[in-house]
Amino acid sequence: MMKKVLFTILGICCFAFNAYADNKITVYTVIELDRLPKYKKILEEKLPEYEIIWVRESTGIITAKLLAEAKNPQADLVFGVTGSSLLILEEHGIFEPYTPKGIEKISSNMRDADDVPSWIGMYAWTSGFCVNTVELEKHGLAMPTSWQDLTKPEYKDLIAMPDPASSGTGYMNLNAWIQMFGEENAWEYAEGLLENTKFLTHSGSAPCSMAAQGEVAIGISSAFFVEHLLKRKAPIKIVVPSEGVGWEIGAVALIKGSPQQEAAKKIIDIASSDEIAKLSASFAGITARPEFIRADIQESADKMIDNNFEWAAKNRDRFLKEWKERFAK
Amino acid sequence: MRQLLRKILPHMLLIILLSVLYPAIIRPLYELIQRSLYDKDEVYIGLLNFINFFDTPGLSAAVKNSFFVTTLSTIITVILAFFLAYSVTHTRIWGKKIISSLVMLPLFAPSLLPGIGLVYLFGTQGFFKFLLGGHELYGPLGIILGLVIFALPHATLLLITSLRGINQQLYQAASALGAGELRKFITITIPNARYGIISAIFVSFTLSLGNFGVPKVLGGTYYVLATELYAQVIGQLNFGVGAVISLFLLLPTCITLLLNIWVRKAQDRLSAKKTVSHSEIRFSPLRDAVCALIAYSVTICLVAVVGVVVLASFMGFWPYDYSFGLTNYSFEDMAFGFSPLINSMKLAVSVAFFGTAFMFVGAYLSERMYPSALLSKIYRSIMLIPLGIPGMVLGLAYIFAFNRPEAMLPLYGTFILLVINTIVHFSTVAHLTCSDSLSHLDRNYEHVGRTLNVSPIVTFFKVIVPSCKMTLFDVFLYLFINAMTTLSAVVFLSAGDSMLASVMVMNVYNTGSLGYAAAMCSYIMLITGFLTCVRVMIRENKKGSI
Repeated sequence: MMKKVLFTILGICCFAFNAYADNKITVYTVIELDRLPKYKKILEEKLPEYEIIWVRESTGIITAKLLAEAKNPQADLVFGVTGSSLLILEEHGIFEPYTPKGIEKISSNMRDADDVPSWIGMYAWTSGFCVNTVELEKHGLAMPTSWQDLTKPEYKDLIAMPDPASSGTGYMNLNAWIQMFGEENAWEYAEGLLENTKFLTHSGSAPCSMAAQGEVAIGISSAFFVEHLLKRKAPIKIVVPSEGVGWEIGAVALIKGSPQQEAAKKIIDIASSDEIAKLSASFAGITARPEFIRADIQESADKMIDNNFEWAAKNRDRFLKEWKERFAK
Repeated sequence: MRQLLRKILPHMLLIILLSVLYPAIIRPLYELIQRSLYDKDEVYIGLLNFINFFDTPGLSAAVKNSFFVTTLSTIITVILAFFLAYSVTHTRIWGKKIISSLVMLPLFAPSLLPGIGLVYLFGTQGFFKFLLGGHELYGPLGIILGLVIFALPHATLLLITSLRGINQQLYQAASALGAGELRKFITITIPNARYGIISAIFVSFTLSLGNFGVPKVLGGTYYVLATELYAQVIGQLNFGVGAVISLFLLLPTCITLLLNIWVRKAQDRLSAKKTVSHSEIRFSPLRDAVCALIAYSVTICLVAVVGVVVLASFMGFWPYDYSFGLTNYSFEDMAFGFSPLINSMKLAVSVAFFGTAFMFVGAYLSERMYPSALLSKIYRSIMLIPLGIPGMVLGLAYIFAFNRPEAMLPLYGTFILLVINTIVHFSTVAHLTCSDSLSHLDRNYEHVGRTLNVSPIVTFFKVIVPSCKMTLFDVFLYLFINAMTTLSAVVFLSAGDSMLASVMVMNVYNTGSLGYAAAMCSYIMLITGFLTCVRVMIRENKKGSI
């Protein structure tokens, strides 16, 4: 009896260590969990001989991993990783430039400007407020329509936002304020906003989910994260602030020295295809193929600021240091 | 020749075990220390990271905050744990067994669960929000509550053992001399339990200081070291500063560890292994009323925190859609489906099996073959280290140690590395349990074996292993449960193919699918709880058959 149990356990252990076949492509991504199966379906239909292995983490973790693994790459490509992180990675020489098929159809502001681009955008998303209409009504408050509205005293302790120091979306917002209001005014604005903020999150989607659960009334987040919450009947409405919104892209890029170069190139080709653009449009709204941009997201697309990714990446350390100096308590 | 082999064999085996410990424990820590001397771009900067430590904005605040919440939560934890343990061992209140089992509930769930449960109960939408008297859950208050729930089972377990060990004759003698309940409590119970109390304080402090799940969910705008470590490494890619924070988190645990060794020795001298039967405890209505009040209310709170998460897992969308159903349990929309749960079970079984085997053999060699040899002393000292390493620090150290082409072993990103990391993370308690059990076995077994000219290997498998069956099962269970629920160490290592359930809970928590997170927690508790019930049943059966 004892022996049988031991052998069974040993069997399970062996099973757990089963060998890794080489038709697997390792893809690092930050795309939300419920969307990955849809991408996987398209990719595996076009590349039936390969199996996609997703490694899904937040932007920060993926970037940290890629940097830590620089000398020993584990990922074959990144898929849907944000612009701010792409620039850091590009600077560290993580990417292998590659010109995919159909590059001419991609918007010029959604790809690396080099002739042989290091990365190609798939879609873009903008920041926005996730407002819980039930909670707002409960407090008898008006719908906020601008960034400045959020510093009004009546919204005190009703706001959640991503921490710029640990979330890509958080830094995107801070950067948008600085680019829109100028540096001095932006810090002043941030101080007023923090006065009303109840929770700083580590992730860009968390504020929206906190708003959906009624923990706060307003989550500074993005329309991008709201689809699955609306599906589950969360009382959420998206507001695009009138001053303008920061935005980010989700892009694909080939990793230098990775094990499955050829297969990874094929995936990058597919990333510019109609099917992927249609799928991305279904939740992001704004795609790198301009003809697929969704009509109802046009408002957000129009409010997109003239985002300078490179400047944002270069000043990141300085801004974050200033942020901590002013607000860490 | 055979004689010589017999003499050398245990040494050789122990050297082999030690050579495994080098890459598993020593080297990662060394790399961590080394990394703290480099800046963001891997340029050597000497002690600059340390010098900058207190100048780095936010860090000094985080140090202060961390020590504030950890100290306060430790005090509360130990006081509550003491009352619980006292109620279970020294009173005649009803349901002592039920209390001591229910208090352990948080152990069976991922460390994010106390946080999620507190949000449901006391958050903005919580039914019991009024109990906080207008104070904000998010921030120090929430963190302290969460840490108390998280550390309470550990502290209570330690104190129950310690209070059970008090010699009953002391009480009988005191009663005979006319001492009252209060007097006995002050002059017998407290002094005799003091080592247990000290251990409980250290364990609570260490566990709370390195805890990541609670401040992640309940931190609000309040910075503590664990979240700061995460922000520095993940948010700002400052591995050097991350390494310095890690070393800082290690500092108090080093002190703890040294004191703990001293306490353990003292405790060993004191302990009387006799358990007290219910009828031996004197009747005292006042004492029982006070203890019952505290024990019942603490137990109810813990059950409520865990229970509300289980309840929410059956709801459509808490708090707006209370329709009852199993949608959250299907994992239909989730990219990984059930695979994280299956991965976690594979990990747990592997960790438990190999961990138990390694720790038992190691403990046997160091405890019974050559107890005085230098080698076994080295082995035992190294085995104490992992207890003091917070999970996130261990995870980070593993990344530094295994993630280079020139790394000792090509393990990065593999399932094997996760297994090794998790075994190391929980190895100290497993080792101590094995050692303790082996040291209580009759010293003469091996001697008799030798006289009868039986191979020591036969003695080991036919005598030693069977007599430690229950201990082995306990260690197996301990490693299994911890591997199922741990988050902090594996958060840096678990990926794609090997995505784990506890990491998944954190990911879906971020994206707002709290229902899924709650359902995943429930699945994990179901599995760990089931195994524990099996263990309890086996133990009860044994008692019955004697």
